[in-house]
Amino acid sequence: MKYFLVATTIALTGLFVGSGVGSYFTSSKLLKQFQNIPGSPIILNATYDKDEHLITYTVSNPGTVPITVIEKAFVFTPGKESKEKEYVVSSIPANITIPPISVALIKLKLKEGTESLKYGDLIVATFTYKHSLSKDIYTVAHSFKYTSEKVEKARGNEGKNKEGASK
Amino acid sequence: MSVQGTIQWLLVILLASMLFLAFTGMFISTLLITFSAEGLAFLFGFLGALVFANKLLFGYGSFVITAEAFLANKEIDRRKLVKKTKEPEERTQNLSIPSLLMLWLQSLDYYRYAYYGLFTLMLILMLLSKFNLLGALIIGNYLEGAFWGASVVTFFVFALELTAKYLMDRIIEEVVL
Repeated sequence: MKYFLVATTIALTGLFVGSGVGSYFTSSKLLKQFQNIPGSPIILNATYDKDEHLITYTVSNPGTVPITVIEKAFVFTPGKESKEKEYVVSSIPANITIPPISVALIKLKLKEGTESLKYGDLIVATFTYKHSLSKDIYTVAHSFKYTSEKVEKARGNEGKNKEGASK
Repeated sequence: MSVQGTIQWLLVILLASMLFLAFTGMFISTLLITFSAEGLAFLFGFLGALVFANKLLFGYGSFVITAEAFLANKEIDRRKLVKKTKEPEERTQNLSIPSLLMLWLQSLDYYRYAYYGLFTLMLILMLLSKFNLLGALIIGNYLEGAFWGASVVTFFVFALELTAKYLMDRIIEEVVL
């Protein structure tokens, strides 16, 4: 009985130490691999600031490599209520680095002298970005339709109701 | 040459080649492990612990061999055993072999406590770094590697210690009582 106890204790300790050593090497290798996954930015939210005449984008970087936004560009398409003409502004220099697994705010200033956004106006913004792992340049496009808060809320509720109904 | 002799030689060659392959594999995998910084930390922890545990490994190892020989009713060199206990000659004159073995086991306790103390210190440092109190990203991973290297040695110390105490118990049960 005692012999069995001693042998079992030694065997279990050996298993524990072996699994610890093995998982240490595996996890350190895995950590190194995970540190080199570039992610493409996800635009979570866009809000229009009437006083400053700019749009603020909340951009998330889901990867584990920092992303640098080099350039911004946008196309303005007027809605039914607006008297402004359609215009394009491209190659606005930007140098915003989004750290890995975090969120940054990118501000897009609209053309000076133009009147403030009306409901129904559409702005399609294009961000050009790169990361340290390659020399390529990538773009991400986001369309933003300026709508009243009531409409947005109603839409959100509709969406929620639909989700609830589908469940 | 007879058939039996040929087969024996073939078996010897097979065994030799297996041993050669095993050692080559061990050598190459050790090299591959030490290429990474974590592997180097592991190796340093292992070697450091080996230096500290040297006395314990050889002490418990030779104790186990002697105790097994005693239990198998083989003759034991009494003068060697007296030397191992590190007690003065006058004290050990009238002692029996089981009590000499007991003294030998007790003399190893100091080294055991020192070794386990150092190992516990290493464990605490590793855990502190794991909880991000000592910079988990900078040195935490390497501290953990050194800890696992030391834990391999500690496993052998622990196993030998348990075996030695088990044999001592058997000697007390079978011979003394």
